[in-house]
Order: sequence, then structure tokens, then C-alpha cells
Amino acid sequence: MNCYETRELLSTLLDEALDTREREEIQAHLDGCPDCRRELDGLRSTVSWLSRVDHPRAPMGFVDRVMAEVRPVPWYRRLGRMVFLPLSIKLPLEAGAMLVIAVLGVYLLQRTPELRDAARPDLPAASSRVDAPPAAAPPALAPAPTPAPLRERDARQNTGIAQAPGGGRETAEFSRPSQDALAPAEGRQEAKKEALQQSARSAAPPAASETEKPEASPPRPALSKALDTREGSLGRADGNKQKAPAVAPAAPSIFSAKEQVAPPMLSGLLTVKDRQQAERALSDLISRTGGRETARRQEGRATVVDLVVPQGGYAAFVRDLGSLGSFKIDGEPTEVPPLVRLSIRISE
Amino acid sequence: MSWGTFFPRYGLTVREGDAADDPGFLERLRAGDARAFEELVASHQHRVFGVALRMLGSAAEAEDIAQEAFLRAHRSLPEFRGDAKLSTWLYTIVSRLCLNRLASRDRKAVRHGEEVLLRVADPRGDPQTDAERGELESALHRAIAELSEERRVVVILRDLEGLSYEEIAAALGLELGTVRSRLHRARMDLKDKLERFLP
Repeated sequence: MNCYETRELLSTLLDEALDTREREEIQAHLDGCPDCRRELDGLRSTVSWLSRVDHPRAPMGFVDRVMAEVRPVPWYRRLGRMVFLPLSIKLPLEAGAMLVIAVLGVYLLQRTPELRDAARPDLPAASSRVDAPPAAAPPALAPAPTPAPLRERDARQNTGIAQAPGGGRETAEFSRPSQDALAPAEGRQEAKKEALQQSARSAAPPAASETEKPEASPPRPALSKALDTREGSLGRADGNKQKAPAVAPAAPSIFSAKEQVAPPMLSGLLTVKDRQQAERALSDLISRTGGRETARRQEGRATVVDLVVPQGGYAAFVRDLGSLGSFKIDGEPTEVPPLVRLSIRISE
Repeated sequence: MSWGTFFPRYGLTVREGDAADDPGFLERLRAGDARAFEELVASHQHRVFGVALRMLGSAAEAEDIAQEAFLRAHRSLPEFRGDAKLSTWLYTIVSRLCLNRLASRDRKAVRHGEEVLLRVADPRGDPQTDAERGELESALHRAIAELSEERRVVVILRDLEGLSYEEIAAALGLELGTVRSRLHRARMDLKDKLERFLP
């Protein structure tokens, strides 16, 4: 074995991986070759140094990080990560959703006058009705107006004033706020003054329209009488208004969503013999007087009905309510508003 | 965390390969016992990380590769037949991952600079600590880093990690003669570079 062959096997000799024959041949060469012995000593020192090299240590938390990756992730978290975690998906998705919600909100607000009115709580309901043109209200969202024949009949029954040619009386009764807003201010002031004077003279002879009413009607509260006279005076005032150049357009309804959900102004107790029959009769009465029932609930053995009645039908409503049973009203107003909100408790 | 993983986790002791290869432990690993796998990671983390660090020279890259090695091992554990020791199996995985990383196009582009060699020469990252450490140790690290990848991985597995020729051949998919030859060349290179320290 020459020096080249011997040096090729020195590394294996150090690792004791040679068979006996190779080891003996190398040993024989090394005994007679100082250069190869020096080579072997150098190699042995190198291997010795390598065996003493420090082992680097894994960073702290390495095991925890590996285990966090290994543990199974529930399917919903994987799905959530897949959909929402990449910012390239998450951010545009959220921005788009916000934009859609904003556009939808603005669209609904503009298309629905009731919502627009509700968003401005400091404005009076009457002005909001004047601001909202009748054509702008979508039929699906606006409250359904009372059928015209009923309102016409009630108007004749309550006021006793013959309807003017062209149907101006009926529309004048139910669109009073709109007409008030458009009519000259002087005419309105005169009409109100006259109505107040007549209501103060409760003992004065009733207006001509009242003479036509049936005598079988029960005694009415003073307020209803005053209202009747006021109706008459307002009717005359309306007659004056017809001479004025201002033309009041017919409003489709005076029941705004805001007024229907407002708390009642008046409350009354109706004591009857048959509560269910009285409930039905009350519903008929509400429809007949151009009003609307806004809520109905049971409180023990009593039924509480919340309703709104227009100013024109309020007097007839209170009067006919007395025919259903014993009716007592609390807190009579000094002036009847365009829309009267009542809460009537029916008990046996 | 069990007592089996507490001490290795904080470096108080290291459970070496043969002890981890008892049949019960292997059975638990194959069955997907998370605690057994945690014990395996805790006991082999330093050696697997060490191979990756010496091969790649970057601590961050080495941690990435070591973590990937354990994740692959976890996925392959049900198919692990136990023909080789667990430690050898892990060395196989991490060595091949390192060689693949070094052979990648991006890595090759970086390798031509001196930065990688310097970092490999001093895996703890700070060249100024060379003065504080022994001159021989620094020269040894640098000499290892300057070896070719094929020779470096063989000398690391043999002289630093203590694998046998047969285990190295199986881990790297080489002939036994190729392992002997590469190891001899690597040692001779190191000896030549450390000539001045020889007596």
C-alpha cells in the first residue's frame, strides 16, 4: 500500500470502520512512513476538535411554536382564516359591506317621508305633512287613507254644512293643516277667533247644523258641544276661505307615522255590558268618524284601545261613544288639535 | 406540560435518541399522542436546530427549517416503521430540507456573496465575539462554513452529531463509499485550514 492509498483510508481508520486486513496494511505502511503518521496525527486532532464543538441551542419557545402548528384547528377557524384573515380579502369585503349599508340607508331615507320626519323630532308634525308632497309618499309605506264615502258622510253628519260644489268641503276638513299653511293668515286668525268666542259661549243657542242632529243622542260633554260649535264656525271660516284666491290641494291623509305612535292626549273609561260587542261598535265608530285604531291590548278584564281621530270627527266620536255605554273622559283639552289621540279603556 | 418535556424544554437535560425509541413511545407517537410528540420535539429540538444552523448560517432560517422538519415528521409519523432511530429519521428530514433550501434559486443568488459565509462562520451572529471565544473555535466554525455543502453535511452528521457511516448514507441517500470519500475530503480540508493550530 503506497502513501496515496493509505491517506485515502486514514479518515476511515480513525472511525474504526476498516476491516482487519485493511487496518493491518495501513498500520504496516504507517510504521515505515513518518509523513503519513504526521498526516494521521493532524487528522486525529481535527476530528478531536470537531467533537468538542459546542452545540447551538434552539431559541426559547421553539417547542410551543411547533406544537401550536401541530394542534388541529377546528373547521370553522380554518374557514374563518381562509375567508377573513388575508387582508387582501378582508378589507375590500368590509369596505364594500359598509358602502352597501350606507347607500341603502340613504335610499330608504329619501324614499320614505315618514322616516325623514322621524329623523327630525323637533319639527311639528303638521309642517312635515305640508312639506311632504302627496305624490312623493309611496303607497306601500304611507298609511291608507280613510275611504272617501265614509269621510264625506261624517263630514256632513258632524257639521251639517252642505258640501260645496266641487267637493271642497270634504278635502277642506281633512287637509286643514295643508290648507292652513297655504291660506292667507288673516282668514285663519278670524276663523279661530270666532271659534273660540263661540266655544266660550257654551250656553248660547247651537249652530244651525246642530238642530238637524237626532234628539236621541246622549248628553255630551261640554267639550263636544264646544267642538260642534267650533266645527260650525270653522265651516263658515272655510266658506270664507273659498272666497279667497288660495286653493288648498287635497292631502291624502293626515295620519303620519309620528302622530300614530305618539302617546295619547286623552284617556277615557267606557263601561259597557258586553265588552266584545262594544269593541266591535267602537271599531265601527272609529271608521265612521274618519279615525284610525293604532293599538289594542288586553289589560286584565279590560280592553285598551289607542286611536286617533281627526279634529272634524272628534265631536261625533265622543257623542256616539256615549251611546255604547257609560263614558268618562279625563283631561279635556282647551283646544282640539288637528288630530286627537285617545286611549279608551273598555270594561264591563 | 409533562415532566417528560419540562426539563428538555428548558435545556436542563436532553433525552437522547435511543431512549426515545422504546416501543411504547413509538406507539404513542404513531397514535397521534400530542404529549408524546411534544416530548419528541423537546428532546430533539437543539440537535435538529443545530444541523440547520450550521448548514444555513442564519438563525431565523434555521428555525424555519427546523420547525418545518418537525411538522413533516408529525405528518409522516403514522407511516414511520421504526427501521431507523427517531433521531436519524429527524436528521434525514432536516438535512434534506437544508440541502433543498441551499439548492434553491434564491438561496444560490445569495450564496455568492460573502455575507452568508460570514454568518455561517459565526452562527451566533456577532463577529465581535470572535475575540472573546477561542481563536481555534472561531477558525473551526469558519472552516466548516467554507466547506462545500455536500462535504459540510457529511462532516456535521458524522463529527458533530455522531451518526454512523450507514446512517449518513441512508439519510442522504448515498453509497457508503461516497460517504467515506466525502468525509475524508472534508476532514482533510479542515485540517489544511487549521494547520497553524496543529502541534
